[in-house]
Amino acid sequence: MIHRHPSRKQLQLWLDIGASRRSTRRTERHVAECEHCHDALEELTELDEAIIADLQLATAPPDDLTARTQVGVDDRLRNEAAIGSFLDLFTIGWDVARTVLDPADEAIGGPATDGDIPHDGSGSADEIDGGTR
Amino acid sequence: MSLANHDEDRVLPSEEELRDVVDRHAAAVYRVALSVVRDPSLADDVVQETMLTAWRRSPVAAGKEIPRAWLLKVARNSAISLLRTRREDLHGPDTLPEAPGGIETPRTVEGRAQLAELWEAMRHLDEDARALIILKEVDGLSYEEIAATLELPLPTVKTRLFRARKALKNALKEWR
Repeated sequence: MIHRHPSRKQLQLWLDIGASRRSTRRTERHVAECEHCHDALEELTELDEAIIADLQLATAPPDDLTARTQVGVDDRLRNEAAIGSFLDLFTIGWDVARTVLDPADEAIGGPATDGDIPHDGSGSADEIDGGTR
Repeated sequence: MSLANHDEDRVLPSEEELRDVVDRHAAAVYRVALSVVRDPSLADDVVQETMLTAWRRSPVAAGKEIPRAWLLKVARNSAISLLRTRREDLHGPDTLPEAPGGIETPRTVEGRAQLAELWEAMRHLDEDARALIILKEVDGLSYEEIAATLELPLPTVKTRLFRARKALKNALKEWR
């Protein structure tokens, strides 16, 4: 970092054109690390109170934003909770169906046994149709 | 009613806590969203999405205050995502609506014209500059909070804000 602070004119130039020139690149490197220059730049770029007030108006949310957000968020959480409950019911139903249709498998609860159809489809035709050919 | 979260098995903020977050931060979240999406109704959507994310993925334990910088970072990221999915929207990538929609304030004709000029000047700033000005000048965040929100180093925040302010002033000179 250079130790001599840039003049106000140099700071103004950097503000206007950024680091597009050699001299302003030097200013930028200095400014990045210099608290003293930050203070000067705060002062140089300070916005009028009138501009800040207008900014607040220009970006003001609608009056009912909070109320609408509360309602919208509640609705979405309730919908998600309802969908979650439906999926839970579906999962329970699926587990029950599996138990009814294939109680042996459920009782064993382990990997496929010799009597099962292999999931990867690698079993022979005899295995698949129960050896009735 | 108790609301279950089916994504994660952990303690979530209560509904009251979420309401409190909405009460306290919805306006700031809206402004950050507006600086990115430039459309009041899209900014509304971002506010809801941000609040839902706050409920689902709060970075702090239930009962503790959600950091404002985290919330605003979520808002900004949500706004950017929303904008990416709506590339075909009516506005160009770096434009704001013709006038700040949704704002009905009892102002004089002169006052409204002044506001329109300011809005026009804001349109000419890039998205980062708009966000920096809104976070600092309107929401009053500290430089440290802005750095956390925008995920930028502190000196970068400062130098970019100085240049953003100057750019706004120059644009206002052009429009006023």
